[in-house]
Order: sequence, then C-alpha cells, then structure tokens
Amino acid sequence: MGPSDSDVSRLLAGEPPVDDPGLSEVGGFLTDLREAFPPPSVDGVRESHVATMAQEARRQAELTPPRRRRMARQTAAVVSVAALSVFGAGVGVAAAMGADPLGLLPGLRLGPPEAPRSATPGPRPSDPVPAPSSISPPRPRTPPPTAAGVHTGKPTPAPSVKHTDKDEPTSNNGKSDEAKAEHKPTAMPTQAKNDKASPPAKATPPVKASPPAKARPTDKPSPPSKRGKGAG
Amino acid sequence: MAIGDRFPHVLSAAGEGAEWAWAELYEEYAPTLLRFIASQGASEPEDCLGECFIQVVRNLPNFSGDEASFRSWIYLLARNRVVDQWRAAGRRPVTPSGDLADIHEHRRQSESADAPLDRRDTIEGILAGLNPDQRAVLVLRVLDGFSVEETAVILRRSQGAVRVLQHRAIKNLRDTLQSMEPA
Repeated sequence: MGPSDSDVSRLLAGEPPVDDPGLSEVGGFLTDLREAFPPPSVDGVRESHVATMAQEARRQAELTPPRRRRMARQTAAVVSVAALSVFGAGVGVAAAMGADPLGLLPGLRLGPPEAPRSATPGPRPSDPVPAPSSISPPRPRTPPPTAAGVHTGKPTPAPSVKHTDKDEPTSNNGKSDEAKAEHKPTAMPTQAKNDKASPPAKATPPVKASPPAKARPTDKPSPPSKRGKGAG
Repeated sequence: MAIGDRFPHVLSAAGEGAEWAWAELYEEYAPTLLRFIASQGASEPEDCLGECFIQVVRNLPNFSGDEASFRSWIYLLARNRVVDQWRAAGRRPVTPSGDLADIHEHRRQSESADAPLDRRDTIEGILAGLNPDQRAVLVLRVLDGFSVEETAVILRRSQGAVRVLQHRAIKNLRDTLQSMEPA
C-alpha cells in the first residue's frame, strides 16, 4: 500500500507522517537531505558570471529602443494605417456610387489653384513643416519668417504630404501632382513665396503658387531683390 | 525571499542593465540554482549556471510577475538548459551524484563541511535509485521549498503529474530504506 497524500505532503513539509508510521524513516532521510546539501558556494564563478550578465544586459538595452519611443511609433503607425483605411474605404464607396472619389475630398483642387491650401487635416497636424522639395522642386528652402505678419496666428494644418517622419509614408491626401505642386506647407509659403516667386512677382505675391493670404508678406519685397533672383 | 519589497526596483534596474541589480539577483538565486542544476545531472553545473543567467538576461523583457514567479521562472530556464544538455548528449542522466559530490568536495576542501562525506554519499546513493523526474520533484519540494503548483511550472508538468511523481518518489524511498535495514 502506498503512502497517503496526507503523509506525502507532511513528509515533504518536514513533518512526521501520521497515517503510516513506517514512513518515519523517509522523514528522517529527507531531513538528512536538507542538512547534507546546503546551497553550494559560487565564489569561484560569481565575478565572471555577473560581468557577463551585465555586459549582455547592456547589449540588450542598446538593441531595444526605449519603450516610449516604440509605443509612440506604434501609435503613429496605427493612426496612419487607420486614416488610410478610412480614406480608402471612402474612395471605394464613392467610386461605387459613381461619384468622383477625389472630388469629394475637401479642398482638393485639380483645376486652377484657387485654394492652394487645403483644409484637409493631415494625420499629423503637429509635425513640423517638412521640406518643400517633395511638392515643388524649384522652391528653395529658407528659414521661415518669424515676423508677425507672416502668419495669421492660426497654424495652418500641415499638409500630410509634407510629413517627413521616416515612419510615415508621404502622401498628399490623394491630391494630384498638380495640386501638390500648388500646395505648400504652412511654414514655407512666406519666404518660399518671395524666394521662389518669379522675379516680377516680388511686389505682388504670386497667388497662384502658394497659399495667398498669410503667405504674402508685403515687407518681403525689399529683400526679395536679392532673394527673388536666387529663389529658384 | 531575501530581496522582498525591493524586488520590483531591483528587477527594473536589472532590465536597464544595472550591474549592481544583476549582482544582487545572482547572489540571491545562484547558489540554490546551482544545487538544483547539479542534482539534475548537468555535466558542467557551473557553466550551465552561467548560461542559465544569460538566458535570464535575454528573456527578462518577456517576464512580468512578482519575486515568487521570478524564482520559478529562473528554475524553469535552468531546467530547460539541463534538458538541452541531455538531448545534446543523447541521454538522460541516471544519477547526478557525481556532480553533487564534486561540488561538495570542492566546498569541503575550502571550508569545513556541514555533514560527513559518507553521509552525503549514502544520501546520493539513495537518490540515485529515483528517476530524474522524481529526483527533481524531491529537490524542488524538499530542498528549494517550491509548492506543487510552482514545481509543475518548472517541470512543465501538470499539478496532478507532480503529485504522482512525489508520491512515487516517497514510496520508492520507503522501499529502498526498508531494504537497507538489517534483517
């Protein structure tokens, strides 16, 4: 007959058996086992082991990006994918209904550039205005003017196409290349306008090429003399 | 648990590569872990111990839990390392007594022994009569104080299987000890 569960539990806990006194010898053996084999010393290997562990831990820490940055990237990626999915779904629905899917996009102008700046909120309104080169090659990059007149005070939603974050794909919310060319990043237009503005447009801000109102500081014309030429 | 309330702080620091934190974790768990590894018949217990802790470092980002869970987890990693050694050698160890004896011999030579060698030899001989899993259950339950649930996690068995193993181990010990009694 085998030991009872109760006796087994008691023996393993260091207590004497109750149901089967014959197991008391086993209890004695287990007590001897505890006494005969205390934890051995690791003095001989501690230093090398700990050094290796610390080195590996540092290597792991270098390979793994900070959790916060990782989460931010993941969040941005999810938002972008969601936005694109919604856009794609909208285009699909519009196309199915026989409408011009792109025409439904607010602010999207495939014709004359009256409304160069679309109010389309990009997925990252807070991102700094990226380089203009992706929209209009000839537009030189100049430091955004800090003058009060440049902005009306309300930051224009940055066009999504301008986003330069490496994790984000460049897009122009479906705008055509023409629209892209006419479309300008918020921060750029002010100086960009003057810079790239064709020489004759110095005094009269070229409406067509860039967001008009806020972008055309009339003070600019003076400097433009040297700027306008080199704007290209 | 010696680390106790400080454990979350130590673990967090270890995750960031703090050497002091790893030294503390090593100091706390290495000796008993080495005993367990040796009892499982590892060919080079100290090397296996070092490899086990490297695995702990690499897999730490995947761990979450309290100190008790951490202790079970590192024993699980140690057990896995030993099993890998078994498979590499194409065998399962029948007796770990040689490894335990070597470790304690070295210890005896450097410091006074807590128990006579002959006593340990006898105990090791008796343990050799158990199969590796029964021996593992005894060591984990008796020497390291793990519960049935924790032992099941370490050995990757069900709790029922652990109870069966410990039951059979006790029965085998009883039979062996009775057979050793003078007629």
